[in-house]
This record gives sequence, C-alpha cells and structure tokens, in this order.
Amino acid sequence: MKWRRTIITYLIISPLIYILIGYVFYPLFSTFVASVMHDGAFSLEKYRQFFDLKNFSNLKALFTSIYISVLSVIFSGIVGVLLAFLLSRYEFPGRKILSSLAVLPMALPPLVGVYAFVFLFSESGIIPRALKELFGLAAVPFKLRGIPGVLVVHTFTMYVYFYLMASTAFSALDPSLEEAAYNLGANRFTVWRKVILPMLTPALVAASLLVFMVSMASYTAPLIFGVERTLTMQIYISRTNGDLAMAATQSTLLSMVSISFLIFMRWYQSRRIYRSVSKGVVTQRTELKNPVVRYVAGITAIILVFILLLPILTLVLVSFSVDYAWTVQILPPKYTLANYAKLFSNPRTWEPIKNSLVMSGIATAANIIFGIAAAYAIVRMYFKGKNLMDILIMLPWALPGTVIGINLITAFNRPTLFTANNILVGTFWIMPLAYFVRHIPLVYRSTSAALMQLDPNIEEAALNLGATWGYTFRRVVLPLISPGIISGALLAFVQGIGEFVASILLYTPSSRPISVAIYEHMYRFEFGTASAYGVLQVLLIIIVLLVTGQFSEKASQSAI
Amino acid sequence: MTLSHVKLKNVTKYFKDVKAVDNVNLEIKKGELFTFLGPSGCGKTTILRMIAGFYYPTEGSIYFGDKDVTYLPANRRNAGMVFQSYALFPHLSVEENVAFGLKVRKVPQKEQKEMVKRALEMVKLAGYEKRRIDQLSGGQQQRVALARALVIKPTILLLDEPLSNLDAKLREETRWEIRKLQKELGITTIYVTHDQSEAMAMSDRIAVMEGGKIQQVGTPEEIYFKPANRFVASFIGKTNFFEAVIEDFSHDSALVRVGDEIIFWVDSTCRQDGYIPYRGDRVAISIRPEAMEIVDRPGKNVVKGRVRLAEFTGVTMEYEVEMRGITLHISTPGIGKEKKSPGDEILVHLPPRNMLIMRGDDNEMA
Ligand SMILES: Nc1ncnc2c1ncn2[C@@H]1O[C@H](COP(=O)(O)OP(=O)(O)O)[C@@H](O)[C@H]1O
Ligand SMILES: [Mg+2]
Repeated sequence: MKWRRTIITYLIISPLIYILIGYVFYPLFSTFVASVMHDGAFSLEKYRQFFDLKNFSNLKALFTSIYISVLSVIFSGIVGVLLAFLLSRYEFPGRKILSSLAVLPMALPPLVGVYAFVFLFSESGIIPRALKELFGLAAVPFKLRGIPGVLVVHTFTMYVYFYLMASTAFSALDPSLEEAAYNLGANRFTVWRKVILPMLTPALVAASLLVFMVSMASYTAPLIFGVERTLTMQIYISRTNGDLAMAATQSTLLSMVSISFLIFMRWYQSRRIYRSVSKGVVTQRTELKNPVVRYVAGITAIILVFILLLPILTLVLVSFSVDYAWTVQILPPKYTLANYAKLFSNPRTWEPIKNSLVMSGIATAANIIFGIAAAYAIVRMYFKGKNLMDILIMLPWALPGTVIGINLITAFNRPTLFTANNILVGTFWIMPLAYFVRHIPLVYRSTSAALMQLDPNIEEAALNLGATWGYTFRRVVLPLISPGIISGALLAFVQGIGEFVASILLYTPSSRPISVAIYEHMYRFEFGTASAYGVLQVLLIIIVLLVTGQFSEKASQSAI
Repeated sequence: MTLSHVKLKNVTKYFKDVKAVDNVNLEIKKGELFTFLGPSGCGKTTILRMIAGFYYPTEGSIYFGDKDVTYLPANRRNAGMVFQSYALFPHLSVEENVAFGLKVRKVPQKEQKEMVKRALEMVKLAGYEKRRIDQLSGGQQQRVALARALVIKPTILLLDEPLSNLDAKLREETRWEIRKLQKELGITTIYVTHDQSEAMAMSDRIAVMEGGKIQQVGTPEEIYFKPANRFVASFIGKTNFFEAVIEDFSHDSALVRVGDEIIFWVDSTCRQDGYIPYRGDRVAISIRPEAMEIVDRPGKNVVKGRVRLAEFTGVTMEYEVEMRGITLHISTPGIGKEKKSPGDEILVHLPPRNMLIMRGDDNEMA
C-alpha cells in the first residue's frame, strides 16, 4: 500500500518522459548527429565549412543575425522603455487609449505583420508613393527593404517585451524613494542613474535576453525583406538545396546560441533578489499642466495610436481590394467583398483554413493533455529528475521555429520507435506535431502557474472528505485550474493558426496551412485574398486576447 | 471495544534527513480533546497529517481502535480535518462545500440537504447556504470548514491551528464554541496549536512537543504545576529558574541552598516525577512569578531582595527583583498592595509548596 503513490507517480510521468524524449530531445539529438555524421562516418567537415574563413558566407550570416539582434534589442529597448515611462508616469489626453493599444503588435502573426509593412513602406508601398505624389518627386523618397526593413518590423513587434517588463518595474517603483532622493538634493540625472536605473535593471536584462533570442530566431522578416544572409534563412536555403547536413549544422549552432541564452536567463532570474515593494503604493502620475505641453503630448499620443493601428488598418483595407488591380496607384483602386466570400465558399481557398483549424486543434488538444499532466507532475509530485524534465519542457521555447522544423525532419524522415515505425516527413502528421512541440512550454506554463496558485490543502481536504484521487482531480483541481489551461490553450491554438516558420519547412500539399497560402497568394500578387486570410488570423488573435484577459480577471476575482 | 481510540506506536517521520517526528508513542482516548502543543516546526502538523493519512510514517504504526491504519489511504480513514488555511473549495458555494463529503458518500439528495442544514445551524451559519466562499469573513470560513468536517460524522476530528488566522477576540470566542461542540458531540478530537493558553483552556490532555519529541503528556494542570522538564516549565507560562544544592531531603521537606547565603524549604512532594534528590545533589528550582508574595516581616522562606524594575500592567504588578546574585520575576495582583519602586528593599516569600525541584543535569533549557 505504501507503494501506491510511487506507482501513480510513475504512471503519470513515464508517458511524459516518453513524449519529451521522443519529440523534443530525440529530434534535437538527431540534428546534432546529422551535423557530424555524413554517410555513416563521423566528420566535422560541415563545421569546417561553416567556420571557413575563405568562404565565409555562413560566418557572415551568423554575424548578420547577431548584428540584427543587437540592434533590435537597442531600438525596441528605447521605444519600449520610453513608452512605459511616459505611460506610467504622466497623465495626458489620450493616455488611456494609448496604453490599451500598446500591446496591439502582439496581435500580428509574424507573416501578416511583415506584409502589412510591405504594403505600407516598400518601394510600391502606400506611404513612399503618397509622398512622391504629394511632392511631385521623380522617385519614391524612401523604401523599406533589407536590414532596415527587418529592424523596423522587429522594433514594432518586439518593443512590447520591453514595454511590459518596464511597465511592471515602473509600477513597482516606490515614488517615495525618488522623492526622498530629490529631497536630499539629487538632481534629475542623479536620480535616474542612482535610483531608477538600478531598479529597472532586472527588467531590462530579462527583456534584452528575450528580444535577442526572438530576434535570432526571426525568419519571416528576413525572408520577406530579402536578407538572405541570416542564420535562419541559411538553414532554410540549405534545406531547400538538399544539403540537410549543412542545415543540421547551422541548426545545431543556432540551438547552441539559443539554449545558452535560455540557461543564462534562468540563472539570471534565479539569482535575482526580489525587492520588497512597499505595500499600498499607487504610482502617482504627474498631470501635465502646461497647455502647450498637453497639446503636444495629446497630438503625439494620437499619432502613436495611429501608427499602432496602421498595419492592421492597412491589412483590412487591402483585404477588400480586387486581386491584381493594385499596380501603380497609391491605394488599391477597386474594392470588393468577394475575397471574404471566396475564402469560405471556394474549396481551394477554404482548404488551408480547414487545415490550419484541424492541425492546430489536434496540436492544442495534445498540448492540453500534456500540459495538465506535466504541470501536475512538476508542481505536485516528487520524483528524481524533475529538474531535467522541467528543462526539457522549456526547451522548445528557446528553439527557433526553423530549428524545430529541421529537428523534426532529421528525426522523422525515417521510421522510428516514436512514430510506430512510420515516416512522418511528407505526411499530414508532421505539422500538428510541430505545432504541438512549439507550444508545449506555453500551455505548460499557464497550467502550472494556475496549479501553483492552488493551495495543496484543497486537494487534501477533498481526499480527507473521502473523495478518490480521480474524483478530486475532476471535481476540484480541474475546475480550479481551468482558466489557466484555457487561456494557454487558446493562445497556443491561435499561434498554431498563424504558424509559418516551421510550417514552410514541413507542409505537404494536403496540409497546406493558412500562412503558407498567404505566402503563395502574395507571390502571385493576389494581395486581396492574402490580406483577407491575414485579417482572419488577426481577428482570431484579438478575440482570444480579449477572452483570455477576461479569464485571468475572473481568476483573480475568485482567488482566495 | 477499547478505550484508546487513536494509538501511535513508535512513530518516526523523516523528510530526507530531517527527523520531523521522533519515536512518538501515544494513546488518545475516546471522546477526549487531545492537543499537540509546541513551538513552530516541532512536528505537530506532521503528526496530524500522518493521522489523516497525508504522510506515511517512516517507522512505526498508527491505530484507530484496533485497526492498523498506518498505510490506509487518506480517503478511507473517515477523519474530518480542519486545515489552518481552511482549504475550502473556492468554486463551490457554502452549501456545496459542506455537502462535498456527503456527495462522495452517495448520501441521498434529500438527506444531504437536511444534514447540511443541521451542520450549518450547528456552526451558526444558517442562511448562508448560497454564499460564495469569498463573500465570507475569516471567522465564517473557519466555521464552514468545521461544518464540512463534522457533517460526514467522522470518527475523529483533526484541527490544525484552526484559530491562527482569526483576530484575538474572535479567537477566544471561537475556542469556546469548538470546545462546546466537541463536548456535545462527544467526538474524539486532536487539536494542534502553538498557543499555550489556547491549549490550556480547551484540552482534556496535552502533549507538549519539542524537536519532534513528546516532552510530556498530561492534563493542563499536570503540565502547569508538574512540568516534566525545563522546556515544558518555560514553554507553559512563565517561570523562574535558578541553580541550587540539596542540603537535606526528608519525607516531608527538602532544605535547599542557593549560593552561599539563601536557604529555604521546599515541600518534598514538589519535585520532578521520578526524581528522588539526595543530599548534595545540584538541582534547578522552578517557581512561577505569581507563586511568590511580597511580605512585611521576615520569617521562614522569606528572602531579602532589591527591586530593579517595576511595571504596572493593570491586572498585575510585575517586578524584577535582585536577590544576592539571582534575578527573579515576580508578579503580584495589581490592586491591594502598595507599589514598590526600583531601588526599594523588599522581602519575598517563597511558599514551599509552590516550587518545583528539577534534576540539575537536565540541560534542556529553553
Ligand atoms: N513536506 C515537508 N518536506 C520537508 N520537510 C518538512 C515537510 N513538512 C515539514 N517539514 C519539516 O519538519 C519539521 C516539522 O514541521 P511541522 O510538522 O510542520 O511543524 P509544526 O506544525 O509543529 O510547526 C520542520 O522542521 C519542517 O521544516
Ligand atoms: Mg504546523
């Protein structure tokens, strides 16, 4: 009888370990093996090629990736922190709407977001053409392409990380500390340097690491803006050229960078000392009094709101345009509702939607089951190797989508134990598997956070009252953590619907997802149809963001 | 049918290499309110959780009556527990919380309603059936937890510091109510607390614990007047300790010397259980602050001292008195006697029956 608990523990964790080893570790390992084993023999040839100083295209890609990432950190850091500072410290007309829209860029799926910028700022984009027309110029005054294009898109989407983390830090900052410093005769500069900056440092470091990682993993922006010399692009190119060994080598190196960032980040966060924040402190916003300043601030706020909305508004506009009609005009000349009608009625355009819904649905269902079991095991059970399990669960979070794609290809282009002796590559199943793997950390995180909030005594109370473990789990634990599960699952679901990076490597004609369809329609200048798909994705994401916001609010209300 | 209702035999519990509970042997009688009392971290909760079935002992056995329940799963013990955090189900109403155990037992719907109603009346919460848990005050939540544990008619009731989240006034009220209910129902109850006055006021018997070990088991009176060792003496109420030497010991009284000059008598029955002092033994004398009196005239067992500090608390006068090298805390009634001031010479009477002779080699000073 004493062994009952041990048996239950192993019953739960062995399938988890099987899944983690089979679909996270083994694919990563396969890629590594593929990078050092060519034709059955050990060889570092591909690594030599990578670091070849004579033909340094690979090294150049690595440096370009790093260069883009560093600049992305700097630019999005400046924008995010500045915005957080203004919004949390000053009261001015338009502040409320600006702060509620500040996270809107998160609603843009990567591919769709980049295309919105193309519509707006590329050589044939709305704004350069409008300026040319307006001022009667011979050529467009500027155009967004190459690395600057990538940087603009990165800044627009990634400043949100800085904004969120800095906002939290600012709101935790005790104003009396600052006042005390001013009182002691410190000037503004000293106060920033000695009081505010040190308090902000943890948030800044965490956001920097995150943005660097996300930026290293970025694939869509370089693809669309034609920056071929980034590591992610090189992986894709190696793969399409059939040099899987090179793709594996590049992936392994990129994984190593990402994983060391993950480790560094965990170390940094565990080392970090949490300062006790004085209770009941409400951040006082300074009301801007000077009418001129108020006027300027108000107008700036309106402009910023407009900039935040612009990509989505553009997408919506283009989604109503007739395919092929928009050529040299500033704005699309002809509009129609047919694009949307076609999406749902034409089997050819409906199929990618159906595929994405089905594949993301399957993946999310698996994520839910895995996430609940894993969270329960890690939060509530005692077993050896828990730390290792935790690391394996978080690993896909650090791995770029491109790498996950390559990992699955190298692992499952032959029959394996984990696929019941089937070859997954080239089948429908590799796609849901990829989505599942990519979203393991997300659903796990939100579920385990909910579980950690739950007083363990509550479960024990149910047992004490005579309920079995199963009954307790169904009637007590599950209802109480369901807001966490649902919000994680919904996010995973919409991200699956928008997934592009791994999909482009793995899809087959029968499993073409929405993002790949958008890419193809754009390639054929069917801007209207492509944008209609995009608007659909954005809409789904916005709905989910609203719903999950609602959920977490409810959860905090019923918290005891 | 035995009289012992819960029995712990050689129970030891390790967490990794921390010994949380150390070889505990106990018998708890049917219908009594038995309290585990001790400082935080001494292993009280661990014992209670082993009785409830949330932990299994590393060694030893637990019996309910004659039945060995050591490894019986928690959900088959029929022991109602009230947790320190109450552990109410936040997604269920008051009524559904209380009905939980009945539903699990598949009690018919109608009967459930009736039993829930009675249980809520018992804890004075009639009319609160439909409330959400977060709409209740701390005291009300505590009572829901109690009703939820009692409604299943448990064979034993387990309470882990049930009052620690209530404010002082409510705490005193509630402890009477729990005691009254327990007596009415005649339910065997195991109570855990670190608050000695709570333990003294409520319990039939108390087990004083320290470092995972039981230091003494006894009625509140026994524990107060006949503490088994220095830890118990100092943990329960306040006491003065000083080193002394036995000058003489006979069947009715002992002559005790402190330092070179102070000599007084102690009733020879006033000694630690099982200890028979011999002439020349080094011992410790314990005397409670309120057991001494300030007197006007010298006499037997009257010692001279000098007041160092004096404090008026309302109910009592508290003095710190220096007597030839030893320091005593004395507590006298606040009304009546004239107030002494620091520097005053006073005479203190140490009544022979109010002292306790303890083994000198007992080094468990708190
Ligand atoms: N689940 C646990 N894991 C490890 N150590 C524990 C656990 N529960 C209690 N302990 C340790 O056992 C000792 C006794 O704890 P506990 O029974 O909770 O004390 P009390 O209830 O008297 O305050 C403490 O040292 C505590 O740190
Ligand atoms: Mg405790």
